[in-house]
Amino acid sequence: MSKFQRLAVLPIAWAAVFLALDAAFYGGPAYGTFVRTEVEAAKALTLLGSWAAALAFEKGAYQRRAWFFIGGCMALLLCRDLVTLTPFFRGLGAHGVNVVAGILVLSANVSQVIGTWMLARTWKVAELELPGSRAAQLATVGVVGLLALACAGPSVVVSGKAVLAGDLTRASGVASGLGDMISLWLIAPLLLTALALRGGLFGWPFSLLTASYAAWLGYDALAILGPVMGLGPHASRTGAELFRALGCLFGFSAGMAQRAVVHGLRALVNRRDPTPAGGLARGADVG
Amino acid sequence: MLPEANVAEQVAEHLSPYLGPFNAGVAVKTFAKRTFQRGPETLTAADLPTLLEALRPMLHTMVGTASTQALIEDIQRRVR
Repeated sequence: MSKFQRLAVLPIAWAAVFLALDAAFYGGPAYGTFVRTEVEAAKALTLLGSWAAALAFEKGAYQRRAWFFIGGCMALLLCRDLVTLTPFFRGLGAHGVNVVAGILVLSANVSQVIGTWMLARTWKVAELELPGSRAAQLATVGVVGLLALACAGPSVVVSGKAVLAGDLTRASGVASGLGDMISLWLIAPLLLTALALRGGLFGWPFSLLTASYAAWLGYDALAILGPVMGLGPHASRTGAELFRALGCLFGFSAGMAQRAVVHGLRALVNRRDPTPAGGLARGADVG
Repeated sequence: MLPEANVAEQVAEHLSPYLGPFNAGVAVKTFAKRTFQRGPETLTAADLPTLLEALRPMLHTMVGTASTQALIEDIQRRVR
């Protein structure tokens, strides 16, 4: 199995282990700690993978900025968790904590949207051809846009109504929902880029990133469909955390795959492997 | 005996493991036509450096400066 294939399997393995441990811990005194630890670890890995990808590029490189913005989202969300979940910021009072958390969530979503937008435009900047007819491409964008609207739209409406009624602490919910909607809509160009590069190593980061955003789409969809499906509190929570884990871990894998591609190519300078691309094309461990 | 691949075909073949077969072929064709105003099948070994320079910005966006340089040097070494 190549490094890229292992990176693709890792999120599935993580999700399977999560489900097994969730079942083992559920009902016990350590369950809350287990879930919180898993969530923070998954977020930290996304940050690690994204910034590992960014740092693989030289200063000023297009994708370096994009990956820094993607990782910036998780860095800011981890800061939000630090503010809301630890005792260090209690001096700010409940309102102060809410305001700081709201600003961090808003900034995180802006960072995510900018980074995703940049990566979704990579094909255009690089002047790559997308597969399929123009009509098929527009249909993909339209269908994914409707899915994003259906999955993330309701939370924007609910939070938006609360804000209009005077509850400004829900403003972060509006920002989060809008950020999700735009990022999820950008699955369309990411997917088309992955398809355009299929069969090539440059396609791996885009395929894994598309899988990550598809998982986030599932995360948002579950919030809507969970009650309709009659899911209980534990099933809803576990389902949400499962999708979150997949979203985070596929994000980590995408970043690490991007880093492996960049570093693997750079290693060609010092290599004289007689096969094309000095073994990198075979997916050898090079990162 | 199979006919030997021309320069454009060889470049596309070397780019294929990275860009995938679809975009490797399309990219070489597009950049060859834009740079030389003629079909890719007419390119000779003398056109190779110019063709690779035309492909450089695209590769730079995908993998950065140093990796692009490594890939271009690798292709230059292999294409005959």
